[in-house]
Amino acid sequence: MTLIEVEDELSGLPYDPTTPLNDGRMYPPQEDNRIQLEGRADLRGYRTRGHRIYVSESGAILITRRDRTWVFEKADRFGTKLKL
Amino acid sequence: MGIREGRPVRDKTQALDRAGQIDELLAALRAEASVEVEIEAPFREEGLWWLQLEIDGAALDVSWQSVSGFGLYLSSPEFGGRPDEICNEAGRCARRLLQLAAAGRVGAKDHVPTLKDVRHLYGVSQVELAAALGTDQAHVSRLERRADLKVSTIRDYVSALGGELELTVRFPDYSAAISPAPQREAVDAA
Repeated sequence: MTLIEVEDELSGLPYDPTTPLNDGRMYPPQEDNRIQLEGRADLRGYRTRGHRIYVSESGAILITRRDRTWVFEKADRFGTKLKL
Repeated sequence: MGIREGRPVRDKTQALDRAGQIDELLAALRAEASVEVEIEAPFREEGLWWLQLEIDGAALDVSWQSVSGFGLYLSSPEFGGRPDEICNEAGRCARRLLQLAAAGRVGAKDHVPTLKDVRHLYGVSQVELAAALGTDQAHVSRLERRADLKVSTIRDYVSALGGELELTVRFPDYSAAISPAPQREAVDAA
């Protein structure tokens, strides 16, 4: 919800996940894009055209490109980074 | 972390019905080319399957969803981008992917199919199309090589293949399907 609220306030674009999601504002991962991750019940994984997004139970985030090169990471509240 | 071909598929994945469409696509591709694939299964049944393909060395991304069929991602990767092309039939989708791999158009701006490409997707010869259009094969050959065609010519060509031509105007803040000519009533009234 935080991402949607921030984008509502700052992007100047309406929230509309039914249109192509490259309209200039950021969207949270869509549930249709959630993928199975074998042996990693502690993670949620999402696949998009260009990226894979991983979110841990404790809030760490890792985003990789299609070829699995690193794009972005954020440690969880304990300072622990997500490891695949 | 996805499901690589050849590895055992987990019980949960088997419970998700992919209607054999993905297997059919891969079989059709492998009959014609060298194919490597990594498959990622959706967490929930109605979600998207992702196929990261290498066809004769060309990298292509395809999604499959029960409600919409195959989605082909051909333009440069963008966050959240929708498929550039949609196809509901595995064999036709395979033929289109083979066209793209052969032409090396993936990631290029000119990935859009030509009329000839579309005709090949439907397995129609120039002779057969000419018969449907009431013309001869040489005429079909010429128009497929022409750089600038009348809208009515394209409409008739697509219609003879069993399809329908749509025209869309697209602006930064507006898009709509348009009619290429005034409606008959409007012409009569003018």
